[in-house]
Formats: sequence, C-alpha cells, structure tokens
Amino acid sequence: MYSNVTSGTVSGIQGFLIRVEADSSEGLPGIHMVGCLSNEVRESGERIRTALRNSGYYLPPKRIVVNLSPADIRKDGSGFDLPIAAAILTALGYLPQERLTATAVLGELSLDGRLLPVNGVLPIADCLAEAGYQTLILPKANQREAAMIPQLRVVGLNCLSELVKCLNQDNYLEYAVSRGGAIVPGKPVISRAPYDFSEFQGQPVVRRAMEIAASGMHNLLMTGPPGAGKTLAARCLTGILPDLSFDESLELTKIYSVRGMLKEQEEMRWGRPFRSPHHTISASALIGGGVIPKPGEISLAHHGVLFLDELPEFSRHAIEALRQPLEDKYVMIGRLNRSCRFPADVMLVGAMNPCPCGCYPDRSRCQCSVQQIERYQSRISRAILERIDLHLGIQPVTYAEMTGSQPGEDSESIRKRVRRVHLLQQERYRNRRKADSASGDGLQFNSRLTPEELKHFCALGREEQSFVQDIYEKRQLSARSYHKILRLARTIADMEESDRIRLPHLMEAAAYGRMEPEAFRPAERYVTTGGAVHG
Amino acid sequence: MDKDFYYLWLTTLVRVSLYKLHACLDIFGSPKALFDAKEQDLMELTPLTAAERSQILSARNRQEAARIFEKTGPESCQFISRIHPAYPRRLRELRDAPFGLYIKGSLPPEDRPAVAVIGARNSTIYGRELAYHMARELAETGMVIVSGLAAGIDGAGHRGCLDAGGYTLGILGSGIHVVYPKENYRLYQEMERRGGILSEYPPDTKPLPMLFPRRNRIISMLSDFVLVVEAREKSGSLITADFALEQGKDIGAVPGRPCDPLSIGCNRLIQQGAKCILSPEDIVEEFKTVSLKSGLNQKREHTNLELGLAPKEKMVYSCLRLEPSFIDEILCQLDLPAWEGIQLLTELEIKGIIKQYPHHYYYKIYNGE
Repeated sequence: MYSNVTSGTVSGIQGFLIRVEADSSEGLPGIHMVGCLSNEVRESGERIRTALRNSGYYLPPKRIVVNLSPADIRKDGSGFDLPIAAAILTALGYLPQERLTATAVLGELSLDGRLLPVNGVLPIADCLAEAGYQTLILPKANQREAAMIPQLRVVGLNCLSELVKCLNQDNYLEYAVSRGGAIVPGKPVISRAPYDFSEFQGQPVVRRAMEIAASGMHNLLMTGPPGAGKTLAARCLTGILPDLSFDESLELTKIYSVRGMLKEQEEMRWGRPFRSPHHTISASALIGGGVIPKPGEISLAHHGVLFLDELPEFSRHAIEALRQPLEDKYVMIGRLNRSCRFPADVMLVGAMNPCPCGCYPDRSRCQCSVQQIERYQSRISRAILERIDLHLGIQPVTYAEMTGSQPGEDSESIRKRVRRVHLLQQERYRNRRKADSASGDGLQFNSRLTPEELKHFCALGREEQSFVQDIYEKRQLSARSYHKILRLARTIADMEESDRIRLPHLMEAAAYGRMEPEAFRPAERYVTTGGAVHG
Repeated sequence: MDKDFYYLWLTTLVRVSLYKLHACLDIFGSPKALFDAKEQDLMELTPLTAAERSQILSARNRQEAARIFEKTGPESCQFISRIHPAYPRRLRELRDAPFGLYIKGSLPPEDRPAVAVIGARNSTIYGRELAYHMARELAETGMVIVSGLAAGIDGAGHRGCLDAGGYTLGILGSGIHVVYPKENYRLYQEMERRGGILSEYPPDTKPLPMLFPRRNRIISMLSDFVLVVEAREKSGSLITADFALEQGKDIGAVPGRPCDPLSIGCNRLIQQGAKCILSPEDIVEEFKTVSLKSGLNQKREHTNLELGLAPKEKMVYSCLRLEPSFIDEILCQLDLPAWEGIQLLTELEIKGIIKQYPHHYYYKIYNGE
C-alpha cells in the first residue's frame, strides 16, 4: 500500500517542503530508503524499526520502500525520523492517509519511541504555512517555537504511540489542544538588556556618542585603557535600541532556530541580540560556514550589536571576512551543491587598547615607542576602519564622576528618543526603499547612505559648505572620512529633528573622526606639510 | 689611488673603537700606511684585539670600500673626507672628528650660528610643540638647526626649522640610505632638498644601538649651542650634552617640573650649570656678537589668541592646557551638555588655536608666551 507524509528541511535559514513516501509490497523483508539521503537520515531506518517495535506496532515481513522527494535536494538532519515512521505506519494501515493531507510531521525518534526536539523548526513551519498547510505535528519541546507562525496549528507530542492515538480520533486536533497543546502566539515578552545606562556614571561624551551611534546604526570603535568601561558601554547599547518588529524578530529567531540556540521557554527572540565572540574566533565561526552552512556570530547578532573586544587581537583573516557582510548586510556562503544566504545586518562595535600597555596618549604612564603604537594600531585592517563612522576615545571615570550626585539617564528614556530617530529615518527613506526592494533590504539608516545618496539627503548650505571645506583642508581628510562626517551629521540633525544639516551638527560630527597615532603635526597656524586625519 | 679612498676605508671600520683607530693612525702616520700595514706590524705595534685586527685585515681584502667609493657621487651621496677642502670647519681641528662624511643635500653654511635642538624620542606633545617653536623662531633669525633626525623632539626641531624656511642639518646614527625611524621619511626627503643629512657610517649601515652615542658627538661638534628640550634621567641627549661640554660648547635646557620623568634630565643639566632656557630669546642672547636677522624683536602677530572669541569659547579655551587633556576632564569643568562642549572644541580647533590629539584629547597651541 502507498502512503505519503509531508515534512520539511532547512537550507541556510530557508525551509523546504519534503514529501516522504512509503510503499509496502511483497518481497524480501526490509526497509529500503532512497532519495539523496545523508548518513544520519540513512541510518534512521534502524532507529525507526526499533522505535516502532518498542511502541507496540508489528512490522509484517514485507518489503517497505521509503522515498524522500524531491530527490535532488540532499536531506540531512534528524527531523525525518517521525515523518518516515508516520509514512510507514500509514502504508501498513495504522494511520488514515486522508488526515495527513493538510498536516505536516517533523521530529526525531529515540529507540523507545519518544520524540526528541530538532533544530530549524521555525523556517520549516514558516514555509509550511506559506504552502497552505494547517497543522504541524512535532515534538513537544519544539512546540512553542513553531507556534510563532500564527497561521499554523501546532501539535506537540511526547511519543510515537501518541501520534497514532491522536490521528485515529475523530476530533484529533482537539486531542492535542486538550493536552495543553496548541499555542496561539501571545504578547511578546521582551527581556531587557541586563545592563542599563543609569549604571553608567559620568563619561558624558561616551553617552552622547552611544546615542548617536544607536540612532543612525553607525559602526563604532572605542579606544581606551583597560577598565575604562568599553565593554559596559557596548553592553548597554542593546538596551537603547528600539524593540524589534514582528518580521525582524521572526527572521532573527529563524537564525537561532537553525543554530539550535532557542531555549524551550523562549519562543521568540524579541530583544536585540548582543554577541561578543572571543578574539580567538575563526573566520568561519564569525561569518558562518561548515560543510552544511550554519550562520555565524555576525548573523546571530542580526539587528543587534556585534561587539569585538580587543579588536587588534582578532585574526586578520577573520576581520577581513567581515568586509563583505558589513557592506551588503548579508552573508553568502557557497558550497558545491548549494549556497546559503544569512542575514547579517549588525552594528559593529569594536573596542581596543590604544597601545600595547594601554595608557597612550597619557605619556606620563605610557612608555611604548611610536613604532610599537603604530604596529599595534596597524593590526586593524584599513578595510574595517573604513567601515567605522564613529571613533571614540574613552577614559576611566574619575572618582568625582563616579560618586556624582545625579545618576545618569536610564536606557528607557534614551531608547524613546532613539526610536523616534529611527522612525524619522524610515519615513525619509521609505520611497527609496521601495525602488530598491529588488536588491534586498534597501536603505533604512543614515549609516547606510552611499556617496550618491549623500548628495541627495545631506545637501549643505553655503555656510556649512565652507566649514566642511575648512576642515577638509586642515585635517587633510580623505573623501571617505568626509562622507563619514556627513552621515554622522545627518544623524545628529535627525536627533534634533532638523531637516537640514546645520553648522553645529557638522562640528560635532567632525569631532568623531579618526586620528592617526602620533605623527608630529605642527600647529595648524603654520601648517605646510604633514597631516594625519584618516578614516 | 685617491687619498680620499683611504679615509672612506676607515669609515667602514664601524666596529673598531675610534680611540684605537686614532692610536693606529698615530703609529702608522696615515690611513694609507695603515691600509698597507703588514699583519705582523699590526700585531706587534698596535693595541688592537685579535677581533679588531681581523676586521681591519678582512676589510682590506673584501674590496667593500672600493665598491662604496665608486658608488658615491652626486646622484647617490657625496663623500667628503677629512682632508677635503669642503670638510666643515667646525670639525676640522677636532681629533675625534669623523674620518669622512657621507652627505645628502648641502653642507651647513659655516658663517651662521648653529643650535642643536635635541631631546627624548618618547616625548610629550608639549615638548614637541616647544621644540618646534623654539627651532622655528631661531631659524627665523637665520640660525642653523642641527639634530639627529630621530622621532620626537629631534623631528619637531627639524620641522620647525623647515617651516621657517631655514637650513637644518640631520645627523644619522645609521647609513645615509637608511631612513630610521620610518615615520620621518617625509622629513628626510624634505631635508634632502632644503637642508642637509649626513652620516659618518657607510651608506647602508643598519641603525645599531652602539652607533648612536658615537654620532651624538658630531651633533655637538657641528653646533655652537646645544639645547635639550626633554630628557629622561638616562638619555642619549645627556650624552650629547657631555660631548658638548668636552668640546667647550654652551648648553641650555628647558626646565620642567621636578617629578616629571621627561624633565629630570633637563633639570639636572640646569642644576649642573646649563643655561635655563625659557624662550628663544635666551638663546639669541648668546650670539650677541653675531649679526642676526631681527625676527625676534618684532612684536609677534599672534600675541593674544583669546581675542575675538565668544564668551563660551573663551570658557572652553581657559579649561585647556598645553598638555593634552581628555575631553571628559574638560567637560566636567564646564557646565555644558556634551554635544555643546564637543561642538565648541571643534570650533576652536578650526580656528586653529587648539588641537585635537588622538582619542579625544585636546590641547592649547603654544603661542610663545
């Protein structure tokens, strides 16, 4: 007898439908599986046979052929155990075929017939809902995750015999519901970042720079001695970014789902992610990779903050690999028979010591030679520096600041302001985005403005132009650092809800440029040569 | 063969101490005689160690000197031996003077007073600004600035002189084709065109630590006054000062706070009798007999930088010092929100009266007062 059951698999973070067919006929007894299977799927035959027997189902001495189609997609992962078992049971007459037409099945089996959770449920559930399926049966532990898709009725089960019992009842859907089953997506529970800006005493410039960076999603590099509060500042940053939209968190949760990083209780990633990989990380762990491509740290930080502490210590290879994703906002990983695209729209926050001892430019403590400092700083590739708009010096708080009477503003109120600036930008770039939609996510933030777009959105008045010219010549800026100043100034203007970029905005923006370490530059009044501002 | 050649050959004996080379010359009479001396004679008559002797012998055979000698010329570098008519007058009568000089650019004008501006490589920004302005203003009176083309104070001194359009002379501790430190490459190129660079070592000699103290004696030899701007307790600049003392040159030092490690060397010099230098005038005073351009007597145009500043700008300006201070330090003295403070600092920077230093440090520009 012939039967078929629908299931799914993931490639990258994209779900695909897989049809599992089974047929029992006379012949040499055994289970034969075909359809471009990986090792872990091929060996599921033994697992299923044992699980069926231990759950009390008799396997007659028949030749059973199982086919997973389409046959040209390689099937890997452990999620096919349950659908294959269901197809066999249907072919043997234990389950009614008609109840499996609008229902999909997913899950791993253990030898005693219990269902075990699998990774990548959410992308599969999403693609099932799109294809018009109404019900998804899967292990209990995956239930909450799949329930994020509102169009889908999700049935979470504990063991194989429950599946047979459930599908054989007339009101089989209520069966699961009555057992505390189907979950409707509820209100988001937003877990706040554990660090709040109110813990941050003093350091007014750091607070200001953080707000600017968050408002325009500008990449940021902090330079300062150990203990200056670089890590704390970066951790606080996620707390002042506005909450994610439903679509954004769905996308993010898919990434975590594929990596198997969703906790059972946390059905959806609502909070902005903060990822802080150790500096020994490899390039493929950072941007994603593997024989079966999996998302890396940069994708796990999607819509959030990727914090690289001790930036010069990261391997050059790993840092260089960041170039393309920082530019394109996604990672493309190509393998022989498939290529995967992982979203990677992050705010890059780097932190570093200014020199090997960490005390430069305080020359009373730092005795590093100029060469040492240059060597240390040149470990960061130009390519990454070019993608950082905001350079921030940071020094430890003084005792007076630390014990100061007024506590700093809390993240909540900063977040409200940042949210307003985000909305403002989205409003401004909406039309642009539609025109751009073919190429992907399009323009959303000031930090993403290309030089071409800068001309359009950051037009300057005469007074402003003469200031920029002044600073361009005095600091000997490159075209790139000039663009950075414009982007930052656009954000600062947006924070004050000013349509045009005005002089004060440019002046503040200009203060966040990068300065080369020490090349001696005589006072500007006399300047003839030597210059050192780069970007 | 040319007499100059034998002097050039002597310069290749970098590892034999000067004292012993002079002793050998006294014994044999001339460089040529030393070149031709028998091994037996070298062994019996001179105080050379076996290693030094073998160096002399192998240098004779290797023909390296001949190769260098052929290469010197207007397009590479010039070699001026001790007996050459162009050999600087200041060096001529001194026993310790180099056997020959490799030169790029031009030789220093003999008739103008020369001041050495020297100091620490790891200097403070304040020290470098000071050295820059001292050198600049001295150069404006027509003086020659001599220094070691090192990082820090030396480079600032050269730069100040070049910016005043003066002649500046750099004396290297390496071969003349070796630019060390690399960051001075631009300065090096400019000095090749508008000043002079010289070295007593063969052109491709690497900058070995042992070579630097030896070149310091040339710095003091070629100048009439030695000014130390910043120096630690044990500093190469103090070696130069010692040489200057031996050679009977005047020494001056810029005083600093007693506890500042970068001023200990200078303060100690003053304690021992060096002239306490507070402004370029103090040096000009030393050269009363020489006719100088009267650049310093004119009233400087930039006397009061605070003129024309808005009240808030004045407030910010008054919080700055000559040494860089961190932006948070500046802001906490002012009762201004961060964004406004940052704006004002940039504005002052554009006006050219303060400067930003990496990582949000700011400092006042030294204006000679």
